[in-house]
Amino acid sequence: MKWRDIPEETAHRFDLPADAAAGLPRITLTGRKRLSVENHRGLLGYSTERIEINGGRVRVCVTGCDLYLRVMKKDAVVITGDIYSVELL
Amino acid sequence: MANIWRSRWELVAQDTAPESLLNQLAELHIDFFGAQPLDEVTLTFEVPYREIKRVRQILESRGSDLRVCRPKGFRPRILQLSRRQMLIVCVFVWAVLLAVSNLFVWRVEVSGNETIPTGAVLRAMEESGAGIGSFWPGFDSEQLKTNLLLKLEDAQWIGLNYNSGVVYVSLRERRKIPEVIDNDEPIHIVAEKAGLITSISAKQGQSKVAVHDTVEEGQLLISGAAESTIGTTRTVHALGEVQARTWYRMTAKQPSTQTMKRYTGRRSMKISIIFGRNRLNFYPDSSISGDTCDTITMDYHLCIEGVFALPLRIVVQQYVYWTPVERSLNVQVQEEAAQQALMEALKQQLGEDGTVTSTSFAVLPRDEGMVVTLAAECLEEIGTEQPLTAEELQKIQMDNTLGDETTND
Repeated sequence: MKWRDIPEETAHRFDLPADAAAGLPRITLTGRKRLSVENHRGLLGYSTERIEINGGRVRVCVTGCDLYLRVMKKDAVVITGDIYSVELL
Repeated sequence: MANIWRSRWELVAQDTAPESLLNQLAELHIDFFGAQPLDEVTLTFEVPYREIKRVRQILESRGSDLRVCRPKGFRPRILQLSRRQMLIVCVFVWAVLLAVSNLFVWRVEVSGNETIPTGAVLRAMEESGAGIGSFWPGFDSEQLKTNLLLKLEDAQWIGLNYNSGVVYVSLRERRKIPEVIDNDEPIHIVAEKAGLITSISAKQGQSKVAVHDTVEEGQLLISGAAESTIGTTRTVHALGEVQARTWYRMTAKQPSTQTMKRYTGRRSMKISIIFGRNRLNFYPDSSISGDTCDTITMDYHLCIEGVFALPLRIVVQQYVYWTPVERSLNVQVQEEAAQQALMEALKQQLGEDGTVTSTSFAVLPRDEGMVVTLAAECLEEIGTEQPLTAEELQKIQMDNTLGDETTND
């Protein structure tokens, strides 16, 4: 096990919410039109077809059509539009 | 919905790394909404109203171009409107005029009238001084009601309600006094038409026919001269019901063609504005050109029910032109039309009491159509009142006098 995996593993073993305990992103997809990512670390790329979000240990790549950054705060981002796929890279 | 109230600026920024700019804004706790890339280096987004200075500073520090497009939301709109003083004055004047106009009568709504025409009520209102454009607070409601009751003889009760320029007149009409039967008036009941008696019920007077008797028109059914047990004859107002089977034969000519409307597609419209009592026509000539047309009149009163009513009405008259054309009818349609017309005529002749028990139709073709004959059997009340003649009365009197003399002898 690597050092950086310890918080996530600990949260998993002790059945703790990983987003709060390990600072991992929480991704909520509502239907095909709305995606919210909490605990993000900023945008990596942004266009109407593809949005990449830095989630710390994971990179969230959202592809779709007419993607729209509806609101962005320091710890949350909401994307709307026709979402085709959400990839964790 | 929240976006309508949220006060914000719409911005267009040019930056070499737009996502980095957005990250920086988020990092500094500047929330933004609706970010959308326009091209590789340009994006548009909205920031809260109060954050514009900070956003400017950030973009200047990054060396980015910033263009402020427009404010959005409730507060900027109010601020914009507050600078337009003339608009505020106009709104204020409009509100005052509206409040003042609500004190005048701009429309009269009449309800509850069945026999009294609405026009008569409106005329009575006009004559009492409470016409269109009159100042309502100047009226004594009770006095006005009394005036209207005096002018409208058939009205028993009148209610007046005023609401935002509209006067609601509620009427209750006087009930007609039922016809009083004069029992002393000598009356016969005679047959109104020929028929076969099916039932007879004499409440007053003496029956002169029995069930299954055939009677002719004018034949005496219940006599108003009733013989008493002591041999004299007394006159009464005959009362009773006589039901009989009756037969009808009616003929109708049905032409083989029918005149129909063919719309030419031509339409015209005339608009008028009625301000109070004055009419302003937006057309030069009030006559209608062409032969025939259907007229559709639409009357729009500028008001919100129960809130306000303006002394302004827009009347739109639409004319749809047509020409008469002859259309030939097939035999079945001709027959049906003739039969329907004959049945309607029969029902009209029978009235409400009579019923049709059987019908048969005979069709005779003619050169320009057909002749349809209806033979119908009906069941109806055939008795009608007829006063005793002077000769009959004199004869009864003489008989009674002779009877008395014989008894005395």
